[in-house]
Amino acid sequence: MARGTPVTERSPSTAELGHTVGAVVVDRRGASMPGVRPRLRRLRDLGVRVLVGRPLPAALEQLDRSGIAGELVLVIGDEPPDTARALLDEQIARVLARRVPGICVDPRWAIVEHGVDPARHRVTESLFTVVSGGIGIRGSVEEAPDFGDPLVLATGIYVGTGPDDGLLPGPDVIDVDLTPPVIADRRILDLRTGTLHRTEVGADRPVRSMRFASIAQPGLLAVRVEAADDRIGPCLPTGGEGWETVGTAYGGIGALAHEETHQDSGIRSVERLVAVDSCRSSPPGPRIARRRLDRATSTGFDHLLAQQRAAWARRWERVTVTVPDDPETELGLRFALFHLWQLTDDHDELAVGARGLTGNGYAGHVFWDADVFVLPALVTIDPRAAAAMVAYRVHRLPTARARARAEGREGARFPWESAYDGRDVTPDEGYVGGEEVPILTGTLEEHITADVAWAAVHHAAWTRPSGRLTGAESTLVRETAAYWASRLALDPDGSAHIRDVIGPDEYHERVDDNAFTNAMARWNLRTAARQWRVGAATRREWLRLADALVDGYDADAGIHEQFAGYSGLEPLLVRDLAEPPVAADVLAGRARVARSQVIKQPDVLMIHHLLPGEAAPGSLARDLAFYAPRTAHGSSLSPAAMALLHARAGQADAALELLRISLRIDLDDLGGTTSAGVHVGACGGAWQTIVRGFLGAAVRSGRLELDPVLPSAWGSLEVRFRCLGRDVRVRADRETVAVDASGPLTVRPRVAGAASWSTSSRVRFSGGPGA
Amino acid sequence: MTHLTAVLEGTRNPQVVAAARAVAGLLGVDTEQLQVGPGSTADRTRRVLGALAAEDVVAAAVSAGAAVCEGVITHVAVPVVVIPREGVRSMRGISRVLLPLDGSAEAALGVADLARRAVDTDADVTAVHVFDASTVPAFWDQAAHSYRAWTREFQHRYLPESVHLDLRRGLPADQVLAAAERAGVDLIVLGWNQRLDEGRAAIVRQAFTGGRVPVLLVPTGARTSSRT
Repeated sequence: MARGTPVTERSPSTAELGHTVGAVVVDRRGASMPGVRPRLRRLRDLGVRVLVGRPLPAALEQLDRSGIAGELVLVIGDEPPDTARALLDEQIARVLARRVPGICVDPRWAIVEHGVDPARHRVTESLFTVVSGGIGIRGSVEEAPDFGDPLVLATGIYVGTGPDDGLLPGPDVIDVDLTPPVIADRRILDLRTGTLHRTEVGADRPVRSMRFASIAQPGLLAVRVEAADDRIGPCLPTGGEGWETVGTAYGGIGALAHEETHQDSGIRSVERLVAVDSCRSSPPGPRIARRRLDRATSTGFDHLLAQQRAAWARRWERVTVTVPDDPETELGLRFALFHLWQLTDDHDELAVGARGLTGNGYAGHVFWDADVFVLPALVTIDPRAAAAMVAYRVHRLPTARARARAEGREGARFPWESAYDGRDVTPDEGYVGGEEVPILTGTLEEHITADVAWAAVHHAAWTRPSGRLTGAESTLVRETAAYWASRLALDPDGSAHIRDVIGPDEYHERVDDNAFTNAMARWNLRTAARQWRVGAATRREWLRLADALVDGYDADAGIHEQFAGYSGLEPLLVRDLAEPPVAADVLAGRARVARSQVIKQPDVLMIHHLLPGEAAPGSLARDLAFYAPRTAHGSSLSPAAMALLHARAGQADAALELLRISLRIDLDDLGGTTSAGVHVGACGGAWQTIVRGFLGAAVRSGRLELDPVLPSAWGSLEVRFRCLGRDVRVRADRETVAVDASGPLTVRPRVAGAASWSTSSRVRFSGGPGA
Repeated sequence: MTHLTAVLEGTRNPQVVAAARAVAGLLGVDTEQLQVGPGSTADRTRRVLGALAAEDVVAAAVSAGAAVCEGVITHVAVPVVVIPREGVRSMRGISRVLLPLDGSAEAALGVADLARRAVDTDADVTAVHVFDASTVPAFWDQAAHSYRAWTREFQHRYLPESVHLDLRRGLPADQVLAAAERAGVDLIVLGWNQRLDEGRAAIVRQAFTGGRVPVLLVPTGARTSSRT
């Protein structure tokens, strides 16, 4: 059995499984038994996969690729005919009674939560959010207890345009009248199939439920709940429908629900299909939802489920990670990948808020997390979604242009926090712990403008062999460069400076010449200057300014100074305050950390992360040695970013330690705010640590470069990802690196003589030890 | 009828009696007085604990200066209101209450019932949470959003809706007493594990010696909530 999951076990005399399977495998002898074939046909019509006469290992392998494994497979072989017929009849009866389908609990794919803990419930609501087609439904339990925070959210649909206007809560779609409520249960998010399961513990006839957001039919939610018939009540009359819409002047969300109720042997099942639609200009009418719902009802729950399993299986076939020696890290990475996959939809633009659609934290605002942490992950997962993220920024270029103009600058300046229309929605004040503070990031954290340009170029490099930008993307890069050209100041000695900014390390505000900001601006100017649309005079001017822009590199010390005057601050290390990760500003106060060299997250080191070519050669290890002990990791983005850098510096064990922290941020609610949503930036950072950190994947001039490093705890690592229009598979162990691709691909190995390289005929090695 | 027992040593301490009446009002029970007779401290403590173990006793009051105080507060199964050594400024009633929380479910659950009662009597209830090396969150991503998300969840988990949350940093004992002083509270309600050598003992000790506000100590698993 693939992935090592057991097939349903039963004694030969047992003629009842007690759960609903997803597939039946029958050998020729079984199929020839009287009465078996009609039953198999019936099951197939009901949406159950049926494989007849195939060798068992091949059949199981085939089912596994469709997301059906373990207990979800019923194998009929040497049973007496009566037993075989009884088993098939049981399955037919269960499907007809709309009993909640079974689940294969594979610990390498399942996030399991035991018990009903009111203090933990909102966290699991975030973790268990299911999304499709840009519609997210938090993982609230069906009876909607008052300690829950159920939400339906839609990508890019906001309450309004102000700083406090978060994502618009849509109609409630999962509540069921369940009395008395469940007091102990086991909930399982099956990452393999994108389904959420629940089973009550300790009841004779337990409440069971299953739900999924259909990725085969985007915008469709399917829910089934069963309980003792005196315990559960429907919300709609059977066969009934309900339409509900929520809207503002800035768009809305509508939900059309269809419900069926069935009763069988004292168990009542409530099945609900909900088609959800959203619109960015006005509350939607029911037309699109009606079309979706009609399609879904004619497909039927069980066929929808089969589609869901198969569609997720296809996702995992293309993009996944396997770490045989480290199941916990592997599960954490798959959880991160799951939520990254859930960001994708088929809209023309994609606004990725800091918590995705898993909660209303951060008001759904779009930060640099989206451009620098999520987008580079999505280019390797779903390039179309990454393109939609770029489009979100491109569509808001006029607003960015207007802002630059209003501030007396040229070009375009993007906002630190963006939402509906691209105006800056950063709040003016907030609190660091209990300390009330003015918030200056909206005014001063300007690197976002270059980050947006970087994301557009990065996307093009990873998805197009030519690496060329579209016209609109070129305009964006050019206008952001124009902003920097008008923003920087020239000193009499000819050096160029960017003064009064905040870098990624937000513990130090109003600094001059932040190395990261300057390096990003320099890169932005040089990249734009290479465009043919830029006139010769402008090209010369931008290149001159770029060359004149200081970056804080101290050739004697061999490191970059984070900003002018940083080296003169108190040389405090973060462990002098507390064990990282720690919100050092909350602990010690803002003034205290501002006087010291303790920083919130990688800042200089982000140059090495995003623009290794812009950093002084050989400076990564020295910058890492200097800044790592000063980094508090007080941002949830920090551990993964630092992990990637350790991996690139060849310090794979240190990288793994930080990656593990990053992967526990939401699963263990390390920051106490996962109830407001999953940190999708950290998810993106974790995935980048694997692809760009441990694999050392980079794309230059239409070639994939690889430079794998493994921590000592891992014997091997296999990663599948998208690159340059190909599905790429890399398997690395201590001695070998195997690369395969779905089509022609040029790969440049960068490991000097450490491993032997192998590949299929589709991959051509270029240079390096494998050539 | 359940009641709160004021433990009196030597001469009648009017502040202990007044505190007992005020807290009894909060709990909705009567008061009674227990005069501690002669004997060694150990004997007297044993007698007091015996009396407080009675089914109808739901809380107690004692002065921090009483010889039996330490033995009582570390062994009794019901909440005890303790009058600091220096006494309190006034003890007319309870209109302002301070709940020091450390972010643990244990501390919060211990005082949850009393917090609700205080809210129900229209008292102004403030919870104070002090960030130190053991309670500081790992991340504080962005000042406005993190504050909103963190406090919302903290409030959800540990506090009735109308309780105001005051966040501070520093030494918990200093900060709790400073917060009590600043807000002019009538009572500090503190959940604790009855160990004077660990956990929240520093707050307890400092409140007894340096404070001027009575402290209602609620042992983990105290039987108040289920019996009143």
